[in-house]
Amino acid sequence: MMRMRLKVLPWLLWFVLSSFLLVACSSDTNKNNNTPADTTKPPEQTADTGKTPGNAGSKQVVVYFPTRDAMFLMPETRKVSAGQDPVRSSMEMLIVGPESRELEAIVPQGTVLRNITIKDHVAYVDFSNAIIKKNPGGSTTELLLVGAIANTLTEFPDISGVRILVEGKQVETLTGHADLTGVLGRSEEMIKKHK
Amino acid sequence: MQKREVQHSVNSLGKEKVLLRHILTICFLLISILCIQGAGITSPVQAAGKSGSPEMTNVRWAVSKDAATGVAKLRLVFDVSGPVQVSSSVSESPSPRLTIDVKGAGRGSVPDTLDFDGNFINKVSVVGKTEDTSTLLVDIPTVLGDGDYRVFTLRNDPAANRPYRIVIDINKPVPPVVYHFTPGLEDKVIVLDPGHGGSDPGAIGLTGTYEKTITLSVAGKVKKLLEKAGAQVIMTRQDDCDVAWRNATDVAELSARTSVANNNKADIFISIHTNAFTNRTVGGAAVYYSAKSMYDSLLAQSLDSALTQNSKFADRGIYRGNLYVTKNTLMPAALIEMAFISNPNEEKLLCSPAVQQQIAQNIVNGLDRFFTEAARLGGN
Repeated sequence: MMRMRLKVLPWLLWFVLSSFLLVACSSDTNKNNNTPADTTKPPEQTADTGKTPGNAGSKQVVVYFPTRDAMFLMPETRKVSAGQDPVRSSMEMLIVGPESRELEAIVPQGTVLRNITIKDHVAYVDFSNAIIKKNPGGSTTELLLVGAIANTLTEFPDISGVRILVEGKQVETLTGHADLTGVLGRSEEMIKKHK
Repeated sequence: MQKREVQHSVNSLGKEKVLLRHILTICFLLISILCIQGAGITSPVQAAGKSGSPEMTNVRWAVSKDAATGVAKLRLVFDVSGPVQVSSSVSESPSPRLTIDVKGAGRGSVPDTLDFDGNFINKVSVVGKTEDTSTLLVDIPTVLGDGDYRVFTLRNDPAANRPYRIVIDINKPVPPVVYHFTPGLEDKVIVLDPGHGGSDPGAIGLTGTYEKTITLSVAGKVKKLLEKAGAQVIMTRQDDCDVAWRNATDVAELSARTSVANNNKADIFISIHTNAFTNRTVGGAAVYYSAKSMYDSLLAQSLDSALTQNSKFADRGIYRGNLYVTKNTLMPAALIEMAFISNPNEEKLLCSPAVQQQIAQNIVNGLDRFFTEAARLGGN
């Protein structure tokens, strides 16, 4: 028995060591390959995403909506109550629409957020097919919608890009204009610049 | 028997030695791994903290595609151990270069040169000047306009474990493609793409007007005018049908349209649409393009200027758009949103044959203007 243990022990230790090495290496390469260069926004556009504002247990998120003239997207800072997932909540707020009267809702009425997952800094956001069926159409609506989803989600430091799914399947376009193949990044150009 | 026992004890003694050696090696390896890991992640920051002079500690980059405009952007980030100030300028000669002066950080542990593939950047040189000033020389393939790059700094955020940062955003430059266009519409091959059709009605107006009907009608009028001017016109669809096949996948349908242009080696591709938005007071004409070459924006600009002539519709201007058909055509292309079918007043106008005829004439004038300008740029 003793001899057995003596024989096995070194191998066991090597096994432990090599697995530790493997884990250390792979986690390290993951870090290098997948960490986005920085999803942080230029200072004039940052809002304190996902940060606890000291007093309450609530968090703040930033949701983007189109201006009434459908020219730009503008951020709206909203509170998420404690215990709720800020990422999911931000998409649900996008669906419900803005608080400001200067802004418009952009997700078609009746759309349901089916699921949202994050993998390798890409958010996979899955909507019900009302996002297509109830969509008013037009390039302007489609680009504002896609931009609002991408900008709202990339406010979170861990999310650098977005893929849109409808009824569980990745879509190539919503209403036949936009090219939604590939990961969609943040759209700075669509954001109305403050003076 | 005795001999064997002695033999055994010697053996086990040897095994214990081997085991001890194994354990020592493992301990040594573990310690060195911890050292390497520590050095890679924390030591430069610590070193900077100790020496007191702030410096750059890391550099990283990533490419992303703007969801709405489709413009690819490279973001280059330098981590710094303290707050910094930056100022930037672009120079043309001897070769295009973006120069960034950094006040508040030396070169530190960042490599002095970084080579890139030339899509956004050719090379970055990091020149440490004094202990706490340095210069970043970013060699770029073509001169950047004001809107094509941004340099800014970000504060540290200890809660999120983020250091002070210098951020450089560079848009992918427009490829330097040269076409040899002649002025005039004669013998030009123009592909017209009436938006939507068949199983896809497109946007629907308040009184039930289908986008696919308006786009087909206007495209037919443009075709007649262009043919009168001597151009060869190919339509992606002649009637109310899907271009690929009924209920084809979205990309199959869109690529069937771009294939018509690509297979026929068209000079220009024009997709004709009507716009829509939830706020029914929104109206006006807009032209979308993808900057595959400088000719795409020229085409969009020419069309947009022409569309405002004798027009009942406001001008919303030209936009870069992340749109399938303008991206995937091999020639200069534009997608025209003639007006908002969701706006009741514009829906009514869009149904008028006289208004449609005016829009068609404006599109033809815009194309003519494009070929005149494009020929001037360096055609034959």
